[in-house]
This record gives sequence, structure tokens and C-alpha cells, in this order.
Amino acid sequence: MQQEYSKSCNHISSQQINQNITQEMRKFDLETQIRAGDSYSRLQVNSELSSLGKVLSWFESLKDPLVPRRIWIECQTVLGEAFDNVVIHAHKDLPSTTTVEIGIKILSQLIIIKVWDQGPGFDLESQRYKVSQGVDDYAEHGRGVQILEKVADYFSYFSVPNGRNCLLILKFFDEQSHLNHQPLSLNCFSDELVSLEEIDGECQL
Amino acid sequence: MSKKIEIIQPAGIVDGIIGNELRQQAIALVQQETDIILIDCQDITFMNSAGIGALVAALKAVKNAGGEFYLCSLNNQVQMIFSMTKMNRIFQVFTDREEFQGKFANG
Repeated sequence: MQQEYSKSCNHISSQQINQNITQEMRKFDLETQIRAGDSYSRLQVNSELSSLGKVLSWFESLKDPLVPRRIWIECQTVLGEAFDNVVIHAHKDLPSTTTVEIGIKILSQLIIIKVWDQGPGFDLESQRYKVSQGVDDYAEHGRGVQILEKVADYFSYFSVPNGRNCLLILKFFDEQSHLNHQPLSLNCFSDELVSLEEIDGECQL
Repeated sequence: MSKKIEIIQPAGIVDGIIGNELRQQAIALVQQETDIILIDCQDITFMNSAGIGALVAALKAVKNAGGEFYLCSLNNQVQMIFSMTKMNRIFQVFTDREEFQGKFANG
């Protein structure tokens, strides 16, 4: 992790250093927030489509007046997609008693959503590629990832210990804070998360 | 000759399961000589993309049978997911039942 930080400081003019430090602090802070597993509100439900009502009522019970209404509805929508996706795809060959776990953390400027499945994993990148080629208006499937792309400021799907996978979704409350966090360069994010978890030996991020 | 109109008013969550029930209802109605089907969405609290997929299937089936398929009274969440998935391009949506009836009441 240290290496990542020092690497990103290379080739930066002295005027940019202060700004860069601020960004690194933000990055560190956000990553800490994402990792701190104990501060998530959590729900476990059975892997069946009919659990969606339970998931949505639970999400509604977490509603915070500081979250803009539009953001809340977008997150509710994306959570509905993520949950369905686990039941229909990730847990396709597993019994309905298999647990789907959801974690939500609401911070002053963003919502962090995590959805854990116990399946063999699915190829999110190829789905993203398909969506990038355009979704037929009259298609009857394949809009879940399109919605994820539209709503999430950042999302990633990666394996975590104990045979689970995690879909991580970040949604900032306003465009500006999203842009401020953009230099996070989240491309190293999921690897770091996995490696840290492995060090901790915990199954929860 | 006035057209036969039927209104379906589902409530709660419209996911793949409920969406498929709607699709089947709509198909049954067009087979019973219904010309126009309106899905009044005022009691729908939440819709996901599986629900949208089933509505698209219903729209296609009704159109293929020569019928017309409309929606009205979308809540904020349904409007949002429609806009994200560009469903406004294929569904004709009325603000509410009054607007729909204003257009079709006289056949």
C-alpha cells in the first residue's frame, strides 16, 4: 500500500504536492471507511426473489434525512438490482437457504453499499462490455448492469475470504464530492481490499 | 365501434415474478378481445429491471396481438428507473388515469 502512495507521487510538480497530499488523505480516509466492517448496518436474507420486500423495508428503515431524496431512490433502485442479481445469477445453483448479506454505511457525503454472495462469482466486466455496446430497447433482460453503471460513482466486484464475493458500490451525494474523490484512482482498490482482508483473516470487509 | 379498454392496477413491488403475472394477465386480456390495456402504476411502490423486462414482454405480446398497451401514474422511483433504462422510448406513459381517459374515453 505504501508503495502505491509513493508511486502516485512521482512526476508531480511542487505546486501540486499540497493538493496531492489532501487527495491522499481523502483516499486514505475513504478506504478506511469502506473497510471498517463493524460500522455497517447489516442484513442477512435467504436467497429468494421474495426477500426483496424485506431488503427494501430494511433499507427504508436506515433512511437518513441528510441523504438527498434523488440519491436515496437511486440507491434503493441499485440495491434492488444487486439483490436480484445475486439470487438469479450468483446463487443460481445454490439452495434458497443460502444467505445473501447486505451492508450499508451512510456517511456525510456518500452511501457505501456492499452485497455479499457465496456463489462461484460472475463476470461483471463482460456484462459491462455488453452494456457498453448498447442495450436493445426491447430486450427483456440485461438492464441490471446498465442501472448499476448509471447510479454508481464507483463499483467493483471481487472475491473475499471464506468463499464469498462482494459487490461494492459507492454513491456520492453531489457531483462535486464525486469529482474530488475521483483521483482516488480506484483501480488499485479491490486488490488492496482483498489483500488487507487476507492479512486480517476476516471474512468481512 | 368503440374499443374495449381494460385497466390493471398492481400494487407493491413489481419484480420479475409480479411482472410475469402482469404479462400473463395482459396476454389473456388481448385474447379476450381487449383492444387497449392500461397498467395503472399508482400503487406500485418499487420496480426493478426484471419487472421492466416483463413489462417489455407484455408490451410486445399485446402489440403483436394487435392491441395497445399504456402505463400511467408512475411514482418517482419508477420514473427514475424508466429514465435510466430509456423506457420512455418504448412505453407511452400518461400522467394519471384522467389523462388516459381524456384520450380514450370516447373510443
